Amino acid sequence: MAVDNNYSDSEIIQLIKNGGSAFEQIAEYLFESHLGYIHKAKKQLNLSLEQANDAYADALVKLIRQIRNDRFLGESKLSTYFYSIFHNTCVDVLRKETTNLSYSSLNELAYSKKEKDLLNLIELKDSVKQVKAQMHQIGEPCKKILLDWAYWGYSMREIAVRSSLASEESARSMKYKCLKKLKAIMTTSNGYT
Amino acid sequence: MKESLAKYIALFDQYLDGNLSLDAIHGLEEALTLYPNLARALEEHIDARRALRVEGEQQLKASFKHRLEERDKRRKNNIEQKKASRVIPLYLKMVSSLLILIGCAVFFTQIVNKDKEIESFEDPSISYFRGNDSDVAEDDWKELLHLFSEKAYDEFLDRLANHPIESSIIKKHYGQYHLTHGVSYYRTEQYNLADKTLQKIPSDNAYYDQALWFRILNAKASGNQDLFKELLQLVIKTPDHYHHKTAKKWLTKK
Repeated sequence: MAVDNNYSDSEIIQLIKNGGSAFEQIAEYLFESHLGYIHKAKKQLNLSLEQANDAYADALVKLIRQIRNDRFLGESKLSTYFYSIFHNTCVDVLRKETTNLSYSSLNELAYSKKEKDLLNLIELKDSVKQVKAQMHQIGEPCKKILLDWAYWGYSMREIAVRSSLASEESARSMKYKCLKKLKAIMTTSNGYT
Repeated sequence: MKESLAKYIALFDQYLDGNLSLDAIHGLEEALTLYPNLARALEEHIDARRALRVEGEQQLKASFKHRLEERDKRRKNNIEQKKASRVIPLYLKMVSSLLILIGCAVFFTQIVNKDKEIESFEDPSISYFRGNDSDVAEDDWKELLHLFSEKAYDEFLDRLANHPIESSIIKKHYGQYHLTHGVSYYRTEQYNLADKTLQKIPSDNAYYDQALWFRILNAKASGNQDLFKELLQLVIKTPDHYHHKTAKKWLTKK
């Protein structure tokens, strides 16, 4: 897909927070806009193309997470901020190579600041693998509805269209049921009583 | 009791997203301390949302990685095509030399498909740049031009990013600078940046014609059909453009 628009930093932040198709569009834009960094990091840190690509994809996901969690304070340009995330991720990739530590699993499972503040959780109970298994158990239609709602930020009306549901109300009801199902699966596999 | 807890549970998402009024936050937090079941429900809700975030991020990352792999495959194919294109003319040269000996060389000169060559391999070589040899005295700029002429586009961009060219030199070689910069973006498939950079060359600049042509190739490669056609029209309106005929041909073809 060609990306023809240019967005200011504040527009990017706003569109990520808005969610829905605007978020998908901006994720595409971010992907296209910083491709040049791959070669730069590859050369500077002597990474393989696969490692640099992996770090790039990882860094983009982290950038989006940081923006959503209000951790990007606008003290630098967004591209500079992204480069620092990307560079650190590349260093992590290299470190992972030498220590064989699963850096991304720990990183991805970290609770957001809000989540930490709310529950003061210290321990990480799950692994990415476990989360994946739980997601698999709820089935594809439920997974799609829940991800559209919780990760992509689509409205109930949009979810109804995307999942071919009759109305906004039926989307809301499905989301409720699916979320309940996910919680039940998680409670069982996490050993809650 | 169950009913009042449900009332609070319905507020969880707004609470986690920071969309609750201060009074409502106060009410919910008080209820959380009073009802352990409500606190447990919030914990479960947070865990579920976290799991969904992790899964969403995994999917997004996988899609980015897939696109990068596809991009690398395309670039690899381009390089192979380029290599092949170098072998074919060499082969043709050898064959035609032989045929010259037997008087049939002319027959083979029409084999090369010009359009394809223009579309895939054309680059503005240093010799294309119009008469300012004496101005290109600055060593850095010369080195960069050398990289460009060697088709080391990644390295060219890398050098520009790490050692920006002085503004006085950019000013002096404005058209040349933006043309090489833009073409390097195009060749490294950064289509958005390529178009943006090539657009900086004004119509009265000596490099405008080439910039316009590379914008066309860039639009074509990025799949932006509307822009592709629009730019071809511009070339058609300029009879002395060096690709005027090709533009006409492409527009009728599309």
